[in-house]
Amino acid sequence: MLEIIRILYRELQYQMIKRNPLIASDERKFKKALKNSLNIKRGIVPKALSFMLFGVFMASGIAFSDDRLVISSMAVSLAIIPFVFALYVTAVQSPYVVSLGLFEPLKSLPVKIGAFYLSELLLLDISVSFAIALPSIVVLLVKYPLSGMLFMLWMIVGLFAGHTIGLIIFSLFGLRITLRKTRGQTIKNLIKITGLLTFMGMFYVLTYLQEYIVKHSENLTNFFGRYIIAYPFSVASIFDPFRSLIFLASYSVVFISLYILSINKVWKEILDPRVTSEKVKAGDFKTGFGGAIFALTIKDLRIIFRKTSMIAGFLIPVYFILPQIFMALKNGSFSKELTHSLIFTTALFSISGVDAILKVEGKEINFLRTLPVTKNQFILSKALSMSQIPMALLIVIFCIGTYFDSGSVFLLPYVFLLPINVSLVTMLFLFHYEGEEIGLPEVNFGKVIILFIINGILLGITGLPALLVPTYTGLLISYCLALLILLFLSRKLKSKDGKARSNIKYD
Amino acid sequence: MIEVRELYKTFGNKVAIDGLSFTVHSGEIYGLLGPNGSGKSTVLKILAGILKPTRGQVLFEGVEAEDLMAEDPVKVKKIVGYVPETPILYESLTPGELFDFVGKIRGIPKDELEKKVNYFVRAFAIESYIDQFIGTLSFGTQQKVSLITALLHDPRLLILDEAMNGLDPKSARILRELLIEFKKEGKSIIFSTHILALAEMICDRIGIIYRGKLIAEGDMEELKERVHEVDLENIFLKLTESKEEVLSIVHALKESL
Repeated sequence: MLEIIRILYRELQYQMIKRNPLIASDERKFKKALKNSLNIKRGIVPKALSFMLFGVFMASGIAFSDDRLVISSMAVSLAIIPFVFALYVTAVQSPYVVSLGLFEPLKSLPVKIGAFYLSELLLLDISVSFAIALPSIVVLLVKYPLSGMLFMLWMIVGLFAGHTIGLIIFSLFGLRITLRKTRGQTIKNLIKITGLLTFMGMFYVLTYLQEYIVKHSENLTNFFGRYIIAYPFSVASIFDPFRSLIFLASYSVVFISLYILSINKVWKEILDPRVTSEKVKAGDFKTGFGGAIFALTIKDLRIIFRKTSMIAGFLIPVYFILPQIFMALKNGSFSKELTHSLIFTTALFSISGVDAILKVEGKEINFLRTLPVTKNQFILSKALSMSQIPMALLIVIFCIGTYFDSGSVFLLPYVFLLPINVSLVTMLFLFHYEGEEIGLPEVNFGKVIILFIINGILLGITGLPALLVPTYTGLLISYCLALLILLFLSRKLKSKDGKARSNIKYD
Repeated sequence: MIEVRELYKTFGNKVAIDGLSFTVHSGEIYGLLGPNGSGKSTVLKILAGILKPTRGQVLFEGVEAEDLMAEDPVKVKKIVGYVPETPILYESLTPGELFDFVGKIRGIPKDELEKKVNYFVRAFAIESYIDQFIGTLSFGTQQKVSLITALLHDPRLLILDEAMNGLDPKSARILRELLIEFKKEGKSIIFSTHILALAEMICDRIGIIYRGKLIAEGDMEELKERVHEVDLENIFLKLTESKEEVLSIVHALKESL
């Protein structure tokens, strides 16, 4: 089994390196990257170390505090990272891995549940996120051994739960093959996306369910009332070993069962994908409107919406803003300030969609390379594609905000300007390589952190006037700044194109 | 006209193309033949602008590809139509959506695109698949879709890497006739195939590539004269030093059976 995982891992890394123009065009870099990436230890240890370094900062908070409430809150915040990471990697990476044809050779072999290999392969990548919690686990183990042990178990359960939910999303939305494009397709896709959103929001549903139980049953209040049972809030119970263990055991039973069910389903569908077909009358070919960039963007969006599980990558901001939206709706006070803050948070976290947008191109990047697509067009189209789903999310937030506070209507320009600015910065940063060749640059943890910092600074600059001068004048200055940034980025893109033209070399 | 001068391509220590030079004139079908792994696909990918050569020159109508690309980085791709040996297409799109996508990228006017797509779709009999997702189509139908995407912009140079693979006899015949028609229009066509009878039938000149080197070139008569063989199969086997080997393997197989 380990040998198969090793082969699959090598193949996946090889395919990814081959598609990375920063590496593939440079023979020396290519060889070095292959040497490092094809070895599981060499590939994973540096990633885990970078995560661990990040985790040290978080652990310092736990190390210097003796207040159990503070430590519990920190543990809850930390617990969301491995969970979201596992969910994201599984939901986005699975369709990519399958589309690369990694499992094709396995199909003809006597393998009972080959999806275990997919799971193990993804767990290799996912497990590095555990390193972020490792320093905190060590600190807790030293200070409060039993709580430290419980925290470690919660991290493992969180990671496993995220992975399982990712597999369920993949099996529900990522594997079905529809033979034909029909008129009802768009509606069906929208229903699928709504289903996906509801699925991801189930932890909040659980919280409401718990509140309902506590309100209506006196016997259960004593047990359930103390902690929120929904993960990651349930991690706060680490200083109450009895309850924590019961929660842990319940989570383990539920997710192990779901895992076994989903893994069987995934493999069954990899072997024999569900095919749905509807009869349609073939008519003459008719072309639509738009130019090259529009065509590239529409192509990306069509693929993303048809491989619905990839949308999970864009829903990370939803996870971060949902608690605030729920709390505000519960309290009935959805202020303009809250809408303002939610718009900026969503715009910043829209960075998480970059991997999914780049993974739209699997081996098909070679087809794209046969077409006269310039790097400039490619970057712009990817930025436009990346900004569409965050924009749609911001429209929803804007509508809710305006419904509760009509003053939020003046925040409308942000809805369109911020996602496009964040997407342009992201793409310009990732595609910062010489030459005109289009390809798929690597998106690693380090680059994502840098992107968060750069975009955070730019969003900070944009929002600062509105924060310092809380009048419409301040807001107007903010919009002007956002527009200026957009103009600057567009110019940068144009000059990049010009530079690339003059730098073309064959050797 | 396309001219290849002293082309080299290495992958690490492996020399894939070793100083290759040849010319394909306007209105000519040039067949590139060679055993598996001889470097045919690598040459064709370089000509299509997908791979960069390690060294050497490619001239399109007398102008160096490098100069063309300095003027416009995608100029070579605008004048070339390329069909790879295995169709690599967006499987979640339908052929209709893909043709629309390619047409817009190539800047083909709306009316012209519609006319061309409808013409090719009928010619290759894929009307009923136009709204079906590419990933669900058979290899042969995908190959037809790949062919149409390469023909839409009326390329001046057509590069076909084993393009007949998977095509049914009717479609193969249509493609053959199309190629002859393109040739009459003055286009250059480079064609790689393992179907030697086909190469013999439609190619004006044939280049035989072996271990990255062009070992023979000429029309059928010149090749026959050079190695004193009557058909392309024997010419090919003799030039690639495989004839004796094939005979001994067949002999050994017969003995072991």
